[in-house]
Amino acid sequence: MTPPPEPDEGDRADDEGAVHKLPFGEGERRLLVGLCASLRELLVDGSDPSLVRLRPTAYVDDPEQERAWQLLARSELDDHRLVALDTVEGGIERRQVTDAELQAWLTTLNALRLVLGTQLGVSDDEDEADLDGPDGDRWAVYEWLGGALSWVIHEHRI
Amino acid sequence: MEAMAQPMSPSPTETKEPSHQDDVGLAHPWVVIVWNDPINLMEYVTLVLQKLFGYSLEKATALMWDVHTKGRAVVANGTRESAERDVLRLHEHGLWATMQQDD
Repeated sequence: MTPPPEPDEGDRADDEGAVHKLPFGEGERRLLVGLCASLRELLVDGSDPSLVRLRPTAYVDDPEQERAWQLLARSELDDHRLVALDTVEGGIERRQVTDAELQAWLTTLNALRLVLGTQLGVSDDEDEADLDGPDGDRWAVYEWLGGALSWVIHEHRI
Repeated sequence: MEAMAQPMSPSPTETKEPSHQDDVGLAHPWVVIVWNDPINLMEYVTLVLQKLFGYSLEKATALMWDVHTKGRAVVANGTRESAERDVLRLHEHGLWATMQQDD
C-alpha cells in the first residue's frame, strides 16, 4: 500500500487563497470532461440505477419518512451536483482550481467514483481493480479517479 | 498520478480510540450515523467529517476508523432538524448517512 502523499503547500496567490494547478495532462483532462458530461446526463435523466449511492437512504426504519425525504432531498442533491459540475468543467478549461472551487472538485470526483464503482459492482472493502478483465479500462479510470481525488484532498486545507 | 489511497482500508495514519460516544445527550434524541461503504476513500471520509463538523484531524480519523472497523459510527446528534441538515450535507458529499431517534 502506498502511503498518502505529503500535503503540498500550493501556490499562494493572494489573501483570497491559493490557486492549484491541475496535475493532469491533456488526455486526463479530456477523460474528466467526458466523465463530467456522462454524470450530467445521468443526473438530468435521473433514472439510472448507478445513481443509487448519490441518493442514500436517510430514514432506515421509517419508509414513510424516507419517501418524504427522497422527494425533498433528491432535487436539492441533484441541483448541488449540477452546479459543482459547472465549476469543475470551468476549472478543467482553465487548468487550475482556486481554494473556493476545491469543494466542488471534492464532491464531484467522489460522485464520479461512486457512480463508476457502482457500475463496476464494487460491494466489498476487499474488491480489487480487475485491470486485465473485460472491464479493465473502466477499472483503470476508477483507479485514476481515486488518485485524482487524493490530489484534491491534499490540496484542500481545513 | 502517484497519489493513491485505498478505499476505507488501513492507512498508516495514527489513530486513537474513538471518543464520540459520550456526545449523545438525552436532551437531543436524534443521532446521525455514517455507515461503512467500499468506495469512499478513508482520507476522504476523514476530511468530510472535519469539514462538516469542525472535528480535529484526530477525532475525524478516529470516527472514520470506527466506521471502517465497526461498520458504522455516530458522527453527530441533536434535534431532528439539525440531524436532517447533517444528513443532507453528508449525502451531498456522497457519504452513506442515516438518522434515527436514539432510544
